[in-house]
Amino acid sequence: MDFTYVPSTCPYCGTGCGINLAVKDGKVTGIQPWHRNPVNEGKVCIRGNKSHEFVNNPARLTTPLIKRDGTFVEASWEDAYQEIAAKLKSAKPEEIGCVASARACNEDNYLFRAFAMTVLKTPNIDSCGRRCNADAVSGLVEAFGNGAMTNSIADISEAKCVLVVGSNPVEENPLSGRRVMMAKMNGATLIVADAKQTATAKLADLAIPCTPGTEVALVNGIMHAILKAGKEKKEFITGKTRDFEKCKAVVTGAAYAPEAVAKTCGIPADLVTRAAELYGAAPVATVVTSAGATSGDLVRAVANLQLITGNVGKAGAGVNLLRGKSNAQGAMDMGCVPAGNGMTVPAMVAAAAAGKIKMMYVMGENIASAGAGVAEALGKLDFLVVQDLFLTETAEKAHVILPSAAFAERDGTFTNSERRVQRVRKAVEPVGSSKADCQIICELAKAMGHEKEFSFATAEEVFSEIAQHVPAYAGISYAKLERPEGIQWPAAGGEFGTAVLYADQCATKDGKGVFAAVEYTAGEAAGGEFPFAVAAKWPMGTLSVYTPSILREWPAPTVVINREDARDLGIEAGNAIKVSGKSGSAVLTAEVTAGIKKGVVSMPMMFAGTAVKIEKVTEA
Amino acid sequence: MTKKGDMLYAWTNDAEIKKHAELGGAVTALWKYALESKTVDAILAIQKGKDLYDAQPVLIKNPAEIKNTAGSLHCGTLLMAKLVKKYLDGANGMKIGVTVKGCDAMGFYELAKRQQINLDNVVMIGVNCGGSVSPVLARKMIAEKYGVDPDKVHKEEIDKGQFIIEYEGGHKGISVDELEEHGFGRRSNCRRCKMKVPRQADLACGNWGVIGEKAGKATFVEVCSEKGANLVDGAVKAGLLSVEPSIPKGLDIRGKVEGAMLKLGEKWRKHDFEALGEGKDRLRKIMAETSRCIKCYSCISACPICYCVECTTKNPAYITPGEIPPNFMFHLIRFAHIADSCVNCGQCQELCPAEIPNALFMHAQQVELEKMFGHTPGVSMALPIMAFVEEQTERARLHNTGSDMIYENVFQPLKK
Repeated sequence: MDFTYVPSTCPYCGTGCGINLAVKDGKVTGIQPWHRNPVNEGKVCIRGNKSHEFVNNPARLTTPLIKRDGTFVEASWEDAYQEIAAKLKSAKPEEIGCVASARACNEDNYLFRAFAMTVLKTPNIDSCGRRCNADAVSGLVEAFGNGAMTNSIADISEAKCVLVVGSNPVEENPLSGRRVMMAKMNGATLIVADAKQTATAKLADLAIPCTPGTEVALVNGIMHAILKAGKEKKEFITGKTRDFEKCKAVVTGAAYAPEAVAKTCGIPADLVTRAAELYGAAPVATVVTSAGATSGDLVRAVANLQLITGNVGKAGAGVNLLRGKSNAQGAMDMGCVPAGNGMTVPAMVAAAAAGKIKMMYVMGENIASAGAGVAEALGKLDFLVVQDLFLTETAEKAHVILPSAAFAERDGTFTNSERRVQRVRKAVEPVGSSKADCQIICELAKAMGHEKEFSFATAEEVFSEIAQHVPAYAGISYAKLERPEGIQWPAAGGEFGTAVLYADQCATKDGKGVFAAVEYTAGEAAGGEFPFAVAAKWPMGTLSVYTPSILREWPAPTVVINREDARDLGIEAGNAIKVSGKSGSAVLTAEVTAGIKKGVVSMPMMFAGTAVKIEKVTEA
Repeated sequence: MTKKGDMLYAWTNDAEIKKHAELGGAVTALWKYALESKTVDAILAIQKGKDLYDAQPVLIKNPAEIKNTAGSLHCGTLLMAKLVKKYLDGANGMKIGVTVKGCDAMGFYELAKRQQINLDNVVMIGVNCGGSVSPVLARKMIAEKYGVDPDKVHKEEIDKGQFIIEYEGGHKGISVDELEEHGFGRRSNCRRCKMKVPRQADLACGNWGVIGEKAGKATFVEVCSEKGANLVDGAVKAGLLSVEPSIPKGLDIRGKVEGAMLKLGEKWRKHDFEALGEGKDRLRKIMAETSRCIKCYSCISACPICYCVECTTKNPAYITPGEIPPNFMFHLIRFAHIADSCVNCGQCQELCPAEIPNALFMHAQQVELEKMFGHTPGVSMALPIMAFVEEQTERARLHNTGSDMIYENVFQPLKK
């Protein structure tokens, strides 16, 4: 019997916890704590604790598949490559769309982008981070200079006041949520804005149940009250920022006076003033936020808040944008965003539906899960290649499927939400004939006549090239990543990189933090035919739905409904509920609770930021 | 002939082990002999992972590799017993030698009495343990309290009440008391621990009581079983080990060190348990702290008492799947099923992402239950009531009566 530990990085959320893969006789049979990793100190959530289960799931794709007469037939790698090469060569570059992966390694995403640029010559490349993070990331770039979390996950626990808005870290990024708990244990005041009594909101000293989509109004309202009380950090604003007047002109407007905000957000006015008092009085305060349909404006609003309160460039401060997937940060760092006038994922899908995009290459993303419309659009493509672990809804629409190796079966790196580059290590052989994504890309490039540019024998060789071409990664190497700390980019900040950005100055052109005028724009208001506002919660991803221990907890997507609303509509827990909005409908299981605001329902992303109606599905 | 009860000084004659080992290298030599003589098929021990702070379990079959496990790593906060249960088939298919701290040894007995580990196939060499330090906290402590770059440290030890580091350019010790006053130092369960010399192992080894010319050059070995005696005799006969009787004053000193450690453990128990309050206050405190639970199941995965395949915390009648935090019943189930046998290994607290002092709550209940029912966990094969039957066997038996509902069967026996 052989038994070893292989340290690696959790493949689920953007927290990037260190884990030890327990390998017995060539199989990952369990996850054991890796106490030495500084991100999570050996602690994990249920996903990390069970992250070996999907690796061993018998539903894994084990061989390339080619669709013949509507059914998938097993194929050799060579035949699959030839089929793909012939098809992709026949399309014009602008007719091809490429989707990179927020859960594939940096090495995969780097080569995927290179493949799109140099082999396919298409500007249409994007990653699925688009659905949640892209607008938020560009907001951070504009305000501070870098498209990433300003601080470190660990230093959240040093804040004296924490504002959680547009995020539910305790449930969605649990080991980042742990740092919020620790801040509170260290005496911080916790303010949580959420229409739902999430596990995070339940910890709050001040819970603000604002209507979903009104968070910008709330944050502006907090700034309004801070400015009115003269609690802004004048010296900081004068010395380290610019365009303060633009922000001031907006937030001091009548629309953001406490009573007006109260009306907009559907909350008592004193919650706004109280939040402003607590936030303005804290010597160091931080914002925790994350993915969301409305996160672009919200990130810019909280950046304004941090600039007026001088909470930039020190531990326990900053804007902490948590990421949904293990390598959402890395995929963007690798440049998997549209080049020039290239298309985003939603634009590609729309163009596919319109017949303008004819072929797509999707790596490790189940874009069809975003709604029935996407699957329909994919069905119109002349040719679709999907590279994944499982036969996802997206893969079902493919003409050729290529089986990927799982994180435990290959070498690579993930970059977590705090910019920490960490190793993923091969512990076992890939299942069946599956291969690491980066290897597949190299082999496909070879089949298309680009062997020279894609002659990488190992993931480490790919990473060496990344370190040469991606400035933030300069100086990072696999040898340096052997230390359990990994390196937080920019690597130049010290042996472990940079824990807190902007200690001296921002990374903008003039080194100043940039204010913006961010007006609250009302989304689709609930009322009339669609009386319920939607609070988004993160959906179950591809890995989770193939993990029995996670499915046991969350067997089916639910729509969370207030108890009184449910009573009025004759809905009971467990009923099948049809949720309809302007963009379509879906059937979900009812979860009835007192822990959500009346008039609000919570459900996975698809209707985020809109209004819906809900009806009990009556049996025919 | 060595026999149970012997108190020895032991040291290795093996040149290769001498190069790597500390304090005589007896443990490393004994394991080398155990592998070479096929007394065991493999050794489960700890080796240095990525660095000094990264304790990594390793299964060794080749005697030449055993030297990698020489020396102690005080930042190792692992529990070996559960690894044997989870990954090594409970030692049912092979003979395994394991180096154990007090909590490891207690864990072996608890899993063995629940028929999850076959102790007949396990040889345990116990090592004295004054406590362990969580690695990330240890690095912070070394940077802040010692003013030393933790990456420059090449050796750490706990001796004479001090945590001592050796680094490029010197060595420095600070009293554990002082460190713990500042929130550093040993894990809180280690502070309360009173299993400093694991005598339920086959041999109990350490450096306490090694005085005179052998000081620093030999290991103190207390022979605790016939298995242990045979291992020592074999290693001596094979020329790997030399032994001599310990000197009486050494034994006396060893007893004093142990006594001081036990007294300190008692002091911490008083401190920690009193801070929990009593009666409803204690209950309120436990309810408030456990309300942060995110249901990661780490406490259950790591617990050396838990082994049930169909864990009651997964019964939807008690705990709604997917609800976070779970209702208090989740924790009540754990208390009810485990508290009588808690060995205070600290894993449920060490690994809790919600920073719930689980081990403190469980341990506080264990000491009360021990007063009431007289059951001492972790020292013998004596069974507490919850361990009378093996879970899967009992479920099968109940199921054959027509229902697997324990309450139905116990309180309302089904008609035949």
